[in-house]
Amino acid sequence: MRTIKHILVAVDLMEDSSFVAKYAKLFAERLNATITVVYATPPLSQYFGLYLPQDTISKFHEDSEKGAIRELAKFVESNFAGADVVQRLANGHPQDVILGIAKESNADLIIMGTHSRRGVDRIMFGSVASHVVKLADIPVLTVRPEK
Amino acid sequence: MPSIKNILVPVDVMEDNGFFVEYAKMMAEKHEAKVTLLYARPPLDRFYDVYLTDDVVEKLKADSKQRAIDELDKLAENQLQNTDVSIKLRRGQPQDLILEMTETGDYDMVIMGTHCRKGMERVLFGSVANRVVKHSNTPVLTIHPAECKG
Repeated sequence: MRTIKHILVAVDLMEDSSFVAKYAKLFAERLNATITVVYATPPLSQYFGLYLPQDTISKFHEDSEKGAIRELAKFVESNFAGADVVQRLANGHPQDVILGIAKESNADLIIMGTHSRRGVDRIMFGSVASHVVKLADIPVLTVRPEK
Repeated sequence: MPSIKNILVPVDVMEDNGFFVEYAKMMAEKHEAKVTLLYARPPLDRFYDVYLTDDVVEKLKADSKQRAIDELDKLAENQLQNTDVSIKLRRGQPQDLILEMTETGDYDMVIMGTHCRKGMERVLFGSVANRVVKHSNTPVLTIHPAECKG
């Protein structure tokens, strides 16, 4: 019989991720599993083309990371109050971060949203779930945001 | 809080289903949910080019239907013991049927396997799970067979 003891929950704090949290809570409860919530912040390379001094970029990165840590803590507090949850923030492409931390934390299930962003973002982000589904060697539960 | 009471499990009687059906069994048990096994039978038009009389084609259809039912019964019996299982046979393209059935609101989750084919076949076939993941309004649990990990 298969067992699932640890669940990786990938969230995107730039979008409403509470629907992902709801399913994560349900599954953790039913399976008696622990949770790691992962938020991937965008890679810095996207600023390389800008003419900014290095220290401005570093400062920017530091501020943005502090903000992300705060946002993640807030998200976990309001969505997972009282649950056994580890928080992880990592910088990089979401699919690499999600797959990497899944392996590292010995997760046996990934839960993530299929976000309905618009335009280029949609093309870029929609593919995160597709990539993870394609490349993960553990089961992946994809959840669509409520309308 | 969402709840999972009805799980749709598309299977292909021509392929190995064991690796994801065992997850379906576990999920059904943990969520106290019912399982519906769905088999999408290939569209009939592949027989149209063959010079066969109508009664031969009819016989072929009936035989293949009965065999599919037998396979589904066997699957339910061998791998979904103590689970509330029902069986559905539909004719059509798997992704269309799966998406159609999730739109009825009768199911709270889809559990499906992927195939580890290579090259062009992989590009073509892997797309069933991919398309369902992309378009389904219902949560989808996707599972890869063990032999194509890594």
